[in-house]
Amino acid sequence: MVHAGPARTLGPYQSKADRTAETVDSYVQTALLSIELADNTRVNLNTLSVQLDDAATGASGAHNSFDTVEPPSEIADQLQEQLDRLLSQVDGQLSALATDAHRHHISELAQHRQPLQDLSQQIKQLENQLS
Amino acid sequence: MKKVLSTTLGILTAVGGFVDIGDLVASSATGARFGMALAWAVILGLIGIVVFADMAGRVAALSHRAVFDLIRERLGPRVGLANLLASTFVNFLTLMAEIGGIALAIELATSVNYLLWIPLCALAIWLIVWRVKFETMERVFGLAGLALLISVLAVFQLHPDWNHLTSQAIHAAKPHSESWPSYWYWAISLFASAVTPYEVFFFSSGGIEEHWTKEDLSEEQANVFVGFPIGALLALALMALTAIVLMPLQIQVDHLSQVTQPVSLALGKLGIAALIFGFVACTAGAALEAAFSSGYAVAQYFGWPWGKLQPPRQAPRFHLVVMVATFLGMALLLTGIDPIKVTEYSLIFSAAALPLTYLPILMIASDPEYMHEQVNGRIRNFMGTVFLFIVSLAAVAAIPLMILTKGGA
Repeated sequence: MVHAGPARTLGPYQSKADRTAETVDSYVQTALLSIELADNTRVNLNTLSVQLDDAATGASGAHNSFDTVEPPSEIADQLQEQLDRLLSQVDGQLSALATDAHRHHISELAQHRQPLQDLSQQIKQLENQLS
Repeated sequence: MKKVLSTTLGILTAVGGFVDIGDLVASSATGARFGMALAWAVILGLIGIVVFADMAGRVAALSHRAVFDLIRERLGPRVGLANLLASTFVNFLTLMAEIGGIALAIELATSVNYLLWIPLCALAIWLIVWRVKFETMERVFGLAGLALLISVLAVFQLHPDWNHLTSQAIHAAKPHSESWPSYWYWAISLFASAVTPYEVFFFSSGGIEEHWTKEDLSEEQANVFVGFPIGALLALALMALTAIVLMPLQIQVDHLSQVTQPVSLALGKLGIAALIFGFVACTAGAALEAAFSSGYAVAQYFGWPWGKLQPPRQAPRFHLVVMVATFLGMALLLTGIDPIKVTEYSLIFSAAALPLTYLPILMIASDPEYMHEQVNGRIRNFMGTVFLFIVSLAAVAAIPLMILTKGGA
């Protein structure tokens, strides 16, 4: 769970960025697992729809919460830009995925797998840089 | 068969107490973050609630007087009132969270937003309290809650590395990615989710409603020693499921929908259907317990007529408290408060308030004037005192840890 709050120096800001990245990646992994379950017809459509909706709203909530923290320096500005770009792409993918699930377009869910895996990898790389 | 059915009060108390909405998430969240390293907190909670409920049940069977009646008599009206306020606050938070939990579980089956289900759930809880017989209620929800045993089956179906799970549970080590304050915060949450005052109010008051006497002590003990271990088994199974499936993927559990994923992987659609049915039964059972407990605590403290077996006309203030608590909880939930967060905080406040209800029960159970030949023996007194020390430690640490970890983050 991400908590917004003031970050007076780069260290706490990086720590918030790290926690946000970790939270968002958790939702990406949740969505990827849901895609796998749907592929193998191991989940009913209503539950799948709620799983993906929760993943989309959870990730966008973490993103919005991070956006409320003001970057304390220029280096933090760059970090904010980098993370914001990634998180916006995640928001877009998860939102489209949730919409497909709502509309019961199950065959189209798999097309989100690769972009989400790529985004997850980029998030993990960023996490490694931060830790 | 009658013997089996007679343990349903314990089963309802236990599945509701151990596996309510907060615990569904707390057990699953700790499994995903700590593996089985915090299994000890569930076991410790199991022993604690067995000791606590057994004493409260014996007190009820022998004195025919309920917990709050005795708390007031033993501690005096002022300390009793402080106790009542703390317990009522925790009961209310729990009730609110459970109503939200039923709605979240129904959302999983229907994909209709949980906020739309909340008024119906609150109405259903109130109608059950008002209209349904106590025995029918405890049997239906107690036995339906056993559908959660599907989570035990799912653990076996996933063919886990048992050595690894056992090693995690035995070593109880903190993962490198977690901090010690978080570790202890979640340990206290798990412990508090097992040893909640509302369970004990419900269990002992339910015993009085069922007219337990000295001859019913074996039934009381069957309820305690069968019901609560089943609840603990379910909590451990949920923890194991997320430890096996979600932990390796680094998925943190923040939503009930994530708890369904391991069962889905193991058992497919039928498994999910049974799990959601179990979620609804357990959260509804816990909501009923918390609703009754709100009424029991207030009515017993003020000496009003109380009880499910009393027609509402003869116990109007008891039923009024239950009704107000239920619909006030509904109104607050409709503001959009996250029911899962409410339960997580209620567990911490519950831990902080626990010694207030635990101490008087221990004192009364050790007092030959009340208990006669059934007074606590050496072993029970030793266990009771050890747990008084543990619940006091948890109470002191709970709120500072909540602040320090920002709610276990």
